[in-house]
Amino acid sequence: MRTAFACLTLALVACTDLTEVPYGEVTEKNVKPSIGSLIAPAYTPLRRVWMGWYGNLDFQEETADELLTPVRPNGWYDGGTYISLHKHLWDATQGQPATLWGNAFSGINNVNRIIYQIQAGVVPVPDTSKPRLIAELRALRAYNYSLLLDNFGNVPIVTDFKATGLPDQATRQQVYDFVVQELTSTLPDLSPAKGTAMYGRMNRWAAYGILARVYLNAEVYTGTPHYDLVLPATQAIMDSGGYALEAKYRAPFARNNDKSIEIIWAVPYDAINATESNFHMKTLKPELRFVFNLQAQPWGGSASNPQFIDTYDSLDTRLHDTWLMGPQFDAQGRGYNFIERVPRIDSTQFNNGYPVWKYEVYAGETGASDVDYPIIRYAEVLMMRAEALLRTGQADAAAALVTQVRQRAFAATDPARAVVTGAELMTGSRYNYGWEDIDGVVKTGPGGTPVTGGGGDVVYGRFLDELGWEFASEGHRRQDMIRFGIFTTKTWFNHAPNGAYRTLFAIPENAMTTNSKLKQNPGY
Amino acid sequence: MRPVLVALLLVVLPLALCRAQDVGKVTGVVKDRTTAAPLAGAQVTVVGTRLVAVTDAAGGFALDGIPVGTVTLRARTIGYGSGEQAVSVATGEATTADFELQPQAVELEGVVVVGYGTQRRDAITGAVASVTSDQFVEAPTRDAASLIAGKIPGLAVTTPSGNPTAGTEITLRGTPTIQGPRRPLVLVDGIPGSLSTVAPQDIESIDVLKDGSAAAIYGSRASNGVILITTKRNAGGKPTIRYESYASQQTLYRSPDFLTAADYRRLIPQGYGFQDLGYSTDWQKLVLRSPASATQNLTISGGDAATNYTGALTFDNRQGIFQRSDDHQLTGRVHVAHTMYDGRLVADLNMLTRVETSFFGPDYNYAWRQTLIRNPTDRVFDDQGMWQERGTYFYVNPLGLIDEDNGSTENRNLRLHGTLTLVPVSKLRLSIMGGTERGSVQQGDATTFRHVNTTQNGQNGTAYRYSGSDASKILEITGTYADRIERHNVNLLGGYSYQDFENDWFSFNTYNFPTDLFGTNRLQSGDALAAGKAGVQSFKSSYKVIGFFGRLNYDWDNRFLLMGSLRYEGNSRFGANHKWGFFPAISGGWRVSREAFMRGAPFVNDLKLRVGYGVTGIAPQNSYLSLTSYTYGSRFLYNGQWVQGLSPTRNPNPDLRWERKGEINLGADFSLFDYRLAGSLDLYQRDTKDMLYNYSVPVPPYLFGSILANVGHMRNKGIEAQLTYDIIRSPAWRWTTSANWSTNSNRLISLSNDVYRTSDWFTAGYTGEPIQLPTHRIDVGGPIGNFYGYQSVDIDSAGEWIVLDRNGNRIPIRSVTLADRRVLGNGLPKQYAAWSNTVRWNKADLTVNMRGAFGFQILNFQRMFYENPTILQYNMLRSAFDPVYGKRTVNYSLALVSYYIEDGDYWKVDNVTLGYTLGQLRVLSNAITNARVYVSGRNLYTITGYKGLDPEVSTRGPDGLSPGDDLRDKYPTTRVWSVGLSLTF
Repeated sequence: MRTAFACLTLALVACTDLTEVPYGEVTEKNVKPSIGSLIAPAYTPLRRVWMGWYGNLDFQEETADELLTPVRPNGWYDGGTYISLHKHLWDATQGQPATLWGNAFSGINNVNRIIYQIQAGVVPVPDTSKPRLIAELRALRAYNYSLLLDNFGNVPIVTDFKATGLPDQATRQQVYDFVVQELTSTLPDLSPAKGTAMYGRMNRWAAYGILARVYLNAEVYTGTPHYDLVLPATQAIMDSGGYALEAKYRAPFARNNDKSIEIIWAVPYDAINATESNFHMKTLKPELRFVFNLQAQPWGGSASNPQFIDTYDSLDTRLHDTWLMGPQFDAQGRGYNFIERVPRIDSTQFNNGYPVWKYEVYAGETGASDVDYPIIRYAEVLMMRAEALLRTGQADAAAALVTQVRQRAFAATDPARAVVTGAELMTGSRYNYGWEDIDGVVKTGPGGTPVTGGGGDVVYGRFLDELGWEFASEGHRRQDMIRFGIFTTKTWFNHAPNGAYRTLFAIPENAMTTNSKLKQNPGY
Repeated sequence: MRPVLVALLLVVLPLALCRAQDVGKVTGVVKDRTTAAPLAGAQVTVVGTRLVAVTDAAGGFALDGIPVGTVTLRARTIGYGSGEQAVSVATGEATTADFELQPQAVELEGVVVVGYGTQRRDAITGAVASVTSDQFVEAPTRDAASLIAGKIPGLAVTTPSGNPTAGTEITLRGTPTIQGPRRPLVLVDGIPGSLSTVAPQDIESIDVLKDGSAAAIYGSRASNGVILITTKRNAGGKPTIRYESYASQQTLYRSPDFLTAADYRRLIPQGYGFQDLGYSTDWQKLVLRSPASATQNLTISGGDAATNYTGALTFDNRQGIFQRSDDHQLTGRVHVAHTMYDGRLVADLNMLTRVETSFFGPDYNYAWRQTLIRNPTDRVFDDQGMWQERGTYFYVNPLGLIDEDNGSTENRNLRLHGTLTLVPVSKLRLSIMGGTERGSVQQGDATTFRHVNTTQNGQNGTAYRYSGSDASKILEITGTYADRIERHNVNLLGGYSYQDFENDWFSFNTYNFPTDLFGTNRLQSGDALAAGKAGVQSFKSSYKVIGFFGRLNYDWDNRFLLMGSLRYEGNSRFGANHKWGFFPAISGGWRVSREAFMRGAPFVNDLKLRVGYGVTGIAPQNSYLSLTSYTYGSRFLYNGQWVQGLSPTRNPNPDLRWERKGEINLGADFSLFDYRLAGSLDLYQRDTKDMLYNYSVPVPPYLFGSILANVGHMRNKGIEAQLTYDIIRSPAWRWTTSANWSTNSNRLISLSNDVYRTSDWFTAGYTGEPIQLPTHRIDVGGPIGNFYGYQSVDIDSAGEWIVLDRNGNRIPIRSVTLADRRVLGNGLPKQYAAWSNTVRWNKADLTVNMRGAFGFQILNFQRMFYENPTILQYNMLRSAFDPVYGKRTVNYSLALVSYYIEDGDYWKVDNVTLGYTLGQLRVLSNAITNARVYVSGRNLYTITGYKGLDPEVSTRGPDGLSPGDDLRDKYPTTRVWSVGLSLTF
């Protein structure tokens, strides 16, 4: 009888059991990752931040004066999103800033979670490795905050994974202080190792580089300049040894750039394992597939702004190293003859404007590129230092560093032209700011009077030009133009100034809707 | 399980000792009450047994082997009310029983299948529609829903695609959910299945539980309605063989009118920069074919009082309109029922198997696009005999796509179910049903070296294989108790239901082969695997649904009707805090016509008023959505090695539960004027609360930016009406006409609460490249289906659109921003109507089924993409050169403007069937007892102002929320002609 009763009970329990059995997921009690598996989710969002769809390479460039995504025969109107970037018409629904917001906070949240799991002993990490690992994660989090600081300014600072409830918004000053504090306090614990062991990860020199960049822009962020603090940070990197300029300008952008001595910190991409890099698909044009034997048909969007191309010294080999110019055809005559002219932002052919050629394009390349993105390279360290020197009255010392960076660009043409003087760096910009009308003439506005020397009034404009030539299509331009004070005041191509508040993006609508504690940035 | 079996044996064994009874015989004639004409083919059954006889041409029948005593005989046939009479049967004697049946426009006394049982139609209190095989649309069908298209008000059956492997699209009473599944629960002989589980030829009747009170007995799966399919089963009688066959021919319903090579050559001198490549090719003609399809069905049945069997084989050979788009289906079905111990124990065995093989490989939608846009002056092959390619962006030779991609999909399905029913005392029935269903898919395709994958993308042959399987087990235990005490009728049902589901699949794709000879048969030769570029995936998931249910049906004097039901159901997909839920229902009816005061209105044969309320649910689509777990994924370069990161899988939601739909239904059924005019009227309001939606949430504190949660509230309300009238009743003629009409309005009432918030509108649908805008907008407080884009009002002298901005000012399209988009119409039909006519004249019959949809708009993608004479690298519609707004042609890039949104109202002659019933044929020693031939047409003619190919477009769109998008790559619909034959031996 007892057995029968037990049977019945068993049957009843089995007949009402609704426990879920997952087959391809790890439940909490089985979480025992390796260190690599553990910290991976803290880094992987950066792949989407840079060379991915709606990534920084798009909108840090296209809101500025070097790169365009005009409407092409196969599309690229895309609901007007690229025209909004170019003409500074974006609002809180703009997709690219929202993508950055999402990825940066995803990285931050993963850091918070992993630090919590390490500290609470949820995942096994030897005590001896903990301080270095936690310093690395904190510095990485600070880097994500530096991106938010630059683009949105007033964002919530969250460091406690277990905190529930909606996070409070911090001011841009508070975010700046937090980033500086986190980077400076983690420096001693960060690994000084270079090369394979720390490739793609936050080591001490990467942290110095980010810190220098934050100091360089301190006046934009807080109103108080800190060019003086750029000097020791860059000095630390220069003194560390092992980093140097590559002899070839394109070496840091080659398929095998993971071995480049110029790169201090990179986002590693891989056609098989890390497939988010598709900027080459966006800028190359469909029939270039045949010219370069690609295994994917490019989408054919972005190209150079002709006014920027006009600023180059014709002997500067960075021009051809950065842009794909002139006739590009395969044996069967498929391809394009790329020309500088772009008629207008809302109507072009595929051959208008130069596609970005800086990042190596190789035979057999698929929709995902192998080329790693250099977040910080040695040339930037030198140029940050040069700018800090220039702005603190040491123009000649600055000119020496700029000359050093320029040398490889003129090595094959006229090495003497590499030399710049401090006085030259104090002059205005060569960029002929103004409206490029449909007839190809730069004017005060559509149908207006022709403009010449439209960038002559830019303070340290020549130095800004140097930044443009060296870092074209690396996602620096928006930040540089803001720092030089012309992002919201100058006219270029089909863009006219549309509000000084646009140095910050609107806090994305999604974030505003879901966190009632957030206040929208001024102007939006 | 074991205790149940023991209990069964204990009851069964004593019964086995009972002795077989003595038997007698009944003969008689069945006639029409009004004309006294004999009724051939009527069924006469002995109630409570499986004994059955069918009347001959003179209306005569004979029933043998009837147990002695008083038995009830029931006679019924199509178009007549059934007749019943009590007959005394004596041992070895023949008794006479004649029937006179009342012609009825709609049969009142028929039996309707409801959840876990049947009910007489006149006692139904919910909104239940029933269609029997004699009313089915007699034409080539896609699935079971095709049989009842236009037959049930409130149930919209659309066939938006011409793909022979695509099913129909069913919408019952509007759109109840945003992200939940839309499929109705389909039960085949009481067991969950799908609309294509059985061959349409095997279906006896289809019943639809439309309202909440009727469907609530099926709990968390019933919100989209319940469709109950009953297969043909032999009720006993002599061995019969039935053979049915039809052959059909399809043509494109309407051909899109694109430019020809001659048009190109006419337009080039006018300054249009088309490229003349020197040839003339009709791409549509080359890609399409004249498909011939044929279906054969063989059914055998027979048995005696103890054992009955039905077996059926159906072979369906369907060809699609595109080259190579073949589809074959073989369905086999066996049903055996065994009655023992004087009817106290009945055992049923059911086996159903289906194998469907279809051509797989090319994406015909994409090939169709390439067919339309291909330059008509180009040639098929180049000088080397290869497919002529041009390399332009998304521009591929469609014939190469189809010819160089070889593969197949094979679906296999096997269902085995058994039921044991025990009647220990006459008023109590205990039943246990158990079974299993197993489905598997084997799919694969490979492209040759002549395919663009190789000639353009350098992949050197590609190959793909997929195999998947679905398995489910079911166990149901039910008990019913029926009793009648004076004028009180009680019927009680109680039960337990268990069902589990398991799904797993595996897929592999590779490329870079040394030869293209292997197809999918030697994947290891694809070198992409060694290069790390092959794709491999496998997956497995499972879930369970467990329910306890009960129902009480009560009526007093068949005048006051009451039904109450309750299901307590759990689903493993729900969150830990909400695993179980209650689904109650109550409904009542009043048969006014049975009241004494109605005797003064003799023209009212029947009048019933109904009211009901019931709660049903929709469960989330996927398993594990509520769980906290981690997954290995995205790789990370760690010390020179790519290692997989371990990340949380999702935002867990332990509060995840069913969408809860409460529905109130008011209805009336009536039959008037000697049963000539019959009809019904239903009013309903259905409120879906706790509606599932993917909410954006802040990160942190959440792990991910979205979470699936139950928050929203959607309302659908509407009216449904049906009228049927016998226009002619005479011995030679019978003309019955039936019309129905329904309307539904839909409103998203709310989508936010204190925790989960959204903006007050969101978008749906997508134009695709190059416009890349959503096509629809859903506002909180508004309906599903609003089109959203720029409102064009004019075109300027330069050929650029003039549109209205957000304030209603006319502005050039060049200066619009996204905020200037407006609501431009709605893609969900507000009204559906249908009208069918059946005329029988002696042995000939003619059926005309028409149906239509009204009050909606269609976004004509073909015009939006192909009516633009600036995009000269692709072919375009001839109408691209018609002046826009009577002024000039477009000279602007493609745009989502209201010019391409058209009224979609249509009235369609969906089916015409002309048949002739030959009756008994004097061949093969009269072996053929009945024969019938017919010709039939489907999708014959449409009255519409819509300029596209066919206004019968999807009421959902790819994302479920973009109704009325007539996509440019839509598999075009066809017109079908068929001839059919059926023979009964």
